[in-house]
Amino acid sequence: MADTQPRSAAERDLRLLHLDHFNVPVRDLNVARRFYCDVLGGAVIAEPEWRRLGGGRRRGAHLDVQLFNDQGHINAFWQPWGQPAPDQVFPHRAFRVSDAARLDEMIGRLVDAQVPYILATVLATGQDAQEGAPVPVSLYFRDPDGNQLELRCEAYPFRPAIKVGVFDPTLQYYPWRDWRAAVEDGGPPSEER
Amino acid sequence: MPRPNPQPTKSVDLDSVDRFTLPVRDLAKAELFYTRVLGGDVVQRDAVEAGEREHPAIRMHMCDGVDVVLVQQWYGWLPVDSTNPHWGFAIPGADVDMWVEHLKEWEVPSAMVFRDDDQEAMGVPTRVEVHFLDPDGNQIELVAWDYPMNDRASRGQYDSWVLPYKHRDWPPSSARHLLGKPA
Repeated sequence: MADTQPRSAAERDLRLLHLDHFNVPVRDLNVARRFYCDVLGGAVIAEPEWRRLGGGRRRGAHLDVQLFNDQGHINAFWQPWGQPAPDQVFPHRAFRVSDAARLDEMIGRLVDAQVPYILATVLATGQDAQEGAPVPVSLYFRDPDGNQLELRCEAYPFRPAIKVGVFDPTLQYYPWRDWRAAVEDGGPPSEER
Repeated sequence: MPRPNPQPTKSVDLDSVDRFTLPVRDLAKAELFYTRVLGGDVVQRDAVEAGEREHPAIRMHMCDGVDVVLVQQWYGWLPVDSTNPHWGFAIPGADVDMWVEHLKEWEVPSAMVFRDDDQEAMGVPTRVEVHFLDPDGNQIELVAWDYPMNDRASRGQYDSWVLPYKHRDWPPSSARHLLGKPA
């Protein structure tokens, strides 16, 4: 390779335009559908295409979901391996919610769905939040396949139950099999296996 | 006709992406990659991400609506043949060839693929994907929806085994002096 210093993206005037998509590896697309649509409120924008899996032309199929009101979407990609470990926090995906009321609504949905969560804040050094004072909070939880997610609210009334600083990520774990038992098989059709 | 870019059909409950966090071994090396190679801008160099402890991190603005936070974490790398999770960013079709050349100049292997649903007659604009890894093995994808069909890309599938390269050997020797220097 030449000794010339490679040019930067800026020097070449190369820029990323916007998010197109991102994905999470999931073991069953109907489990993912229930979680990302029924619990988090997403809308399916493209159904999975299984046709080429059997012929080796694909290694998976994906369910595309509009999860937020901005450019880009999530796809739940059928890949029954490569899920994160229970204590692995990164990578993770964080999304903004409009206000504290919306975050409370999302917490209620997680409770109803029996999804463990951690509500946490990181305060500036020396800062001591008063009850009711608005603080930025992060709601940490996982999808049924263990993919780490976060909902971020910039101004949420502080209360003692909010964890300040670090937390134990393993508290978010819950068994995928219970979700799988509650839905129809969302893996490859039998003729494609 | 190539498949259409799926578009939102209604308003949903979450507003937008706040950030994506990616595990990296070496913040200086990761910063070099995400600034000089991908064109991001450092927003916060002394960021902290919480988990079981506080992780040193660098927050980057990558494009409209997306910040990426590079977080020091010593484990959690993808298997070589796992293509998920990955993060896909849109680029103009007119820039695809230059991106491929750019990645090659930085000694980052890439694979360009036209999926089966997007096969078109030569010269007709269609969807193309360019896949590559950051130095820590996080998979990135560039997507153009208006790239002229040609015979220079894989069709249907690409070989994910062509993408890995050694973290310890990157960046190329001609760029080593840039490590630790702001872009």
